[in-house]
Amino acid sequence: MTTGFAFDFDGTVSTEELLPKLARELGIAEEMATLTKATMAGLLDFKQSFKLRCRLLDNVPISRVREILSSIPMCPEVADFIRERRNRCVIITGNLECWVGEAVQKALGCKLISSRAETANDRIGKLTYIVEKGPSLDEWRTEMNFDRVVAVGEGANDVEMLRRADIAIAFGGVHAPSLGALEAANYVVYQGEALCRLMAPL
Amino acid sequence: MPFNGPIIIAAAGIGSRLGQGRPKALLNIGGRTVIERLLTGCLKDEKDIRIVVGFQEQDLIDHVKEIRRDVIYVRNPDYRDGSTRRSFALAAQAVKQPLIMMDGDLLVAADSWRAFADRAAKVSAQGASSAERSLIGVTPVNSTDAVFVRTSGEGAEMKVEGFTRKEPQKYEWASIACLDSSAFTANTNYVFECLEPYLPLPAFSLNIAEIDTPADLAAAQEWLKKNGG
Repeated sequence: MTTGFAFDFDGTVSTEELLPKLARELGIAEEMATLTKATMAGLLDFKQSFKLRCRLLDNVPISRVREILSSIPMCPEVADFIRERRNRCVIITGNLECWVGEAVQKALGCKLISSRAETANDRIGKLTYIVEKGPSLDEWRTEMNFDRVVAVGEGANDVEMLRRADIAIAFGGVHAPSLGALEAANYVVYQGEALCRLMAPL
Repeated sequence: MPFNGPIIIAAAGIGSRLGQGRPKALLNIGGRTVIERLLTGCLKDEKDIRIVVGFQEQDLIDHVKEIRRDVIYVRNPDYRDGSTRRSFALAAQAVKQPLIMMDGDLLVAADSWRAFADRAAKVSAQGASSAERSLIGVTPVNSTDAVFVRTSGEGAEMKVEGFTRKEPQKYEWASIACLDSSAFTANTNYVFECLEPYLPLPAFSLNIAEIDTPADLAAAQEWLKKNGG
């Protein structure tokens, strides 16, 4: 039986969420937090929310975002787990490829499914694709012909991916999993070591 | 030495016979919860603890997380069907080696656990068949709603010959056992029922207090004074 592993990036593989960190570094934490709150309350869907969040950041050089991202450590056990099975692992993230692509390629070497934007002069332009994690997981499973798929995530936007996985793990390593993620999960863990101990025999 | 496999604790149930409206693992006995007593007592040195959660799962997780961060929680959303066998089966799906299963409504004397886990480590590593890799925990009858165990032999030679709710015996099922991870696939309600086809199986007498009814709860307080844990 071949098993594929799909991971959310922010707060699952990385030890801190990228967008809030960017916002803090750039002095727009309050604006970003307001958007997050409105999204959590169901006033905005994820696509709208993501578009607005990118709008807040469209004046920031892509190189600066990458620099800030590179200062966020990855969870060491999870990163090792992925590197050891890079052909059976995928990162599925709403973040933009121009922001996280290089870091994922360098540090993990696995496939990345992410949102995309036009870029020019080190700035992002129009968003051309926004990831929907559920359908993305299905496409990857079909493309790779896995017998079963394990998904790991914690946010409300991971719920669809967790629901469609054969084995769903809510990971509270960085912050507590959202209620939706918890209810979609077969397993819940709060530590990278425990997560990898659970996944290793799968 | 810690056991060389996962320890799976079933704590998903409603505990309807006790009727406290709380998961039994969260029962306060002498100032500490049952699960806290297990995790900081007999299971303190065990490396791989997995707890099956269901009824009031968030409360249980929040409580355990503060005691031990590395626990794996297995969700059983069908906990209302009352099948502990199903709880263990869900946990065993992610396990390939032999495991120790136990109910989360027990107090276990630390020295008694150590002796059980050491022998379990030996049989699970050396046994040639699934039955030879098993070790079934029994205990002198002390609970009010017991599943009795017919045994043969004594000490290291003791074996479980049968389970019965009707004919009182010297021992009862302790709801602790070392088993292959494939042991829970039969479609039964209780674990002891899916062991029946493999009998006789090696038995081990444990010093425990099980809490199923209000009378058990009172007895557990007394047990604690004598045995600690």
